[in-house]
Amino acid sequence: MLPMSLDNLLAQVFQPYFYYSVILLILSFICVKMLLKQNHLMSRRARSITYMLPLIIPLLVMGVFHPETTMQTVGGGSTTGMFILSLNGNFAGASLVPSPFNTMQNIPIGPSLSAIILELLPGQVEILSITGILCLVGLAVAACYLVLAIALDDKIVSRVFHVIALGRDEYSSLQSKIDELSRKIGVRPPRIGLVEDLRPNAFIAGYGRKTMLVFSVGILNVLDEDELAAVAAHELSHVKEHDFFFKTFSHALAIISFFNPFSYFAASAAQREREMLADEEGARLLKKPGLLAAALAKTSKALQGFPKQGLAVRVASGLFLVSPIARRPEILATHPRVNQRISNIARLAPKTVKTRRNKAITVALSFLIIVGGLMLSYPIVKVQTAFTQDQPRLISLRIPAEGAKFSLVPCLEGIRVQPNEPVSEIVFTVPPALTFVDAEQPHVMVPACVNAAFQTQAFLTSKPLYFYVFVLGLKGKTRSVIEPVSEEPAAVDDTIVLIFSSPSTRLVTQREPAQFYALFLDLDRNTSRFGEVSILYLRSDTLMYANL
Amino acid sequence: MPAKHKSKISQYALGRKELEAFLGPLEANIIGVVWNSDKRPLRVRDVYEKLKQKKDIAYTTVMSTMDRLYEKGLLDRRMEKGKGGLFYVYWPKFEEQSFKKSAVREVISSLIENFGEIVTSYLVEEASSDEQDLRALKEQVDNIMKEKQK
Repeated sequence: MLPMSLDNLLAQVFQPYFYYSVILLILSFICVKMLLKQNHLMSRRARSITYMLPLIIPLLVMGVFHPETTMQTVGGGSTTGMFILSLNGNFAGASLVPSPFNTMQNIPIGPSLSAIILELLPGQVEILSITGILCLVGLAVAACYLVLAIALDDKIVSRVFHVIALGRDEYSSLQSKIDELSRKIGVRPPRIGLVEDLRPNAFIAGYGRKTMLVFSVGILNVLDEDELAAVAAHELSHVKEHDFFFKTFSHALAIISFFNPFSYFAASAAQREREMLADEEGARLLKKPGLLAAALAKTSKALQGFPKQGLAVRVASGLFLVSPIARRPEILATHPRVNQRISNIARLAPKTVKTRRNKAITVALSFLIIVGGLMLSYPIVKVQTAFTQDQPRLISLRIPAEGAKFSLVPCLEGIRVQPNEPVSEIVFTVPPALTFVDAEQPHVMVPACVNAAFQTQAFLTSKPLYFYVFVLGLKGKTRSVIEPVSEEPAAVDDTIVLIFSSPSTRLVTQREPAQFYALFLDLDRNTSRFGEVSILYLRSDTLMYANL
Repeated sequence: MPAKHKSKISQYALGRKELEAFLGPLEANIIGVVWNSDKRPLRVRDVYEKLKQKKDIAYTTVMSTMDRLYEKGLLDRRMEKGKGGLFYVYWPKFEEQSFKKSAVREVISSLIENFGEIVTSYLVEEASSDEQDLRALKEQVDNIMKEKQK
């Protein structure tokens, strides 16, 4: 069943794994952008890594809140429910109540009580969670891309771009220049390849032994040998900086949040910094910054005369090439604007400006961003929880039609009671959700729920007994719920019956035996005690909600 | 052959065989591949792969040779988008027979232009060695004369 209503859509969007990964990525990207815009203390390398930080957040969020393909939601437009108590098999009474606990005063209870509780909750149904599927798809595609890129990058590039290996005797003086530059910069001389493309382009594919420096026919036509060497120096700087891995990981992280445009902004911003870094290192290596600048200017001028590359080629060059010279909208560009790069190369000398003013600005801005982020986190959490709270919505009552058949299966597998202690705990196991079928409507989908009733006595107490029940349920999977049970104090020897039903919608889809855990805690530990706690009734079954 | 179809033969090397008399050996090889290929038009890569089966050759050499053949007017080309980017695809301007014909004509007409009578009388001499050829030649000359008188 697909979510149709706005409620469902909102509930999906506000699932923590989706909501937090989207909002926190956007916020942190804006913060990082602000910080780096004013900050001239950090090196290019540090800046590129800082730009990656927002991309890691969704991964962390999904580590905490695991995305799921389905979610529970309230189905149907009119949410009605039913609550019935019957004594010894006879129908005893029903009342309009918001919660089972409030009805206790109205029901005659004695030691021989056998309570059967049927609670008809609003239609709890399981629906496909689109946001969960988006998150899971992102994770899966990112993992596939990572494996593919690391295992097969050079092969994919060779196939898609038709790379032809250059013989040793072709462009031999350029090749020996590249070898010399590689030695100077301290990397293994890469293989040299050629693509037939008439557009000027040059890029790196693969890593380690598989590294391949590829020129296009276009760039070989446009640039002279010295300029080609400058381009090679730039590309070799990418090799030295291990930009293959930087690019691959930043893409994989961006793919995880592929539905969030800010992930691409962050990845591209990080790569623009790497590009600047390679420009600077390349220019430093050649000791002639003018050459690379001239090459860049010529290349970008020559590119203007050509039509755009095909979509498949553009996607492939984005994913598998390090540093291709391609044109994209500014915010998505992996390469900074050419004039920006040229001016950056020109003023190579002062890499970082460590003035007192800059330091002060950086510290103040960092402080502002951290404090601002913390202050923002409150409304962020508030908005999220407002949309995803479990809301008990018992609204109206209905007595089942005469002759309706219900399969009620009491099931108690283990009980541990510690009488005469200030804290009594009960552990019990419920089997997988059983099917409860309305004989008249066997096709109606009915969710399961766990109901239990306990009986205990106030014992050895001189003071009125106030107590709480903590239903912990399902070994940490369920949120702890603290239910105030007694509003009126119980006197000595008063029999107290506690009734609760599963507090979380997660129980509704329980498919394996689950261990419940209930704690009875009196508030005035030293003076009051519970008597023996016994389970009167425990049931795990399904609830009919349709046809109300 | 009309002038616009004229191939630009720049050389005639005595002692070389067939096409190589007009073109460089690699040029002749490449145009041979282009003529004999079922696939048209061809990219440099196709020719390169074909030639590579026979001998070791560099891609860039094939590329520059095909560029030269285009300059010479033997190949035509256009830009095409495809696998690997934007590249030229080539096809022959002339088929093999018409190229050979026009190349021979060019060589002979250049000879006539330079050495006039020597060439024609040589040609007549060559033709007269066979009586039948001589008669055909006479007929042809007569016809031309008649045309001119009219």
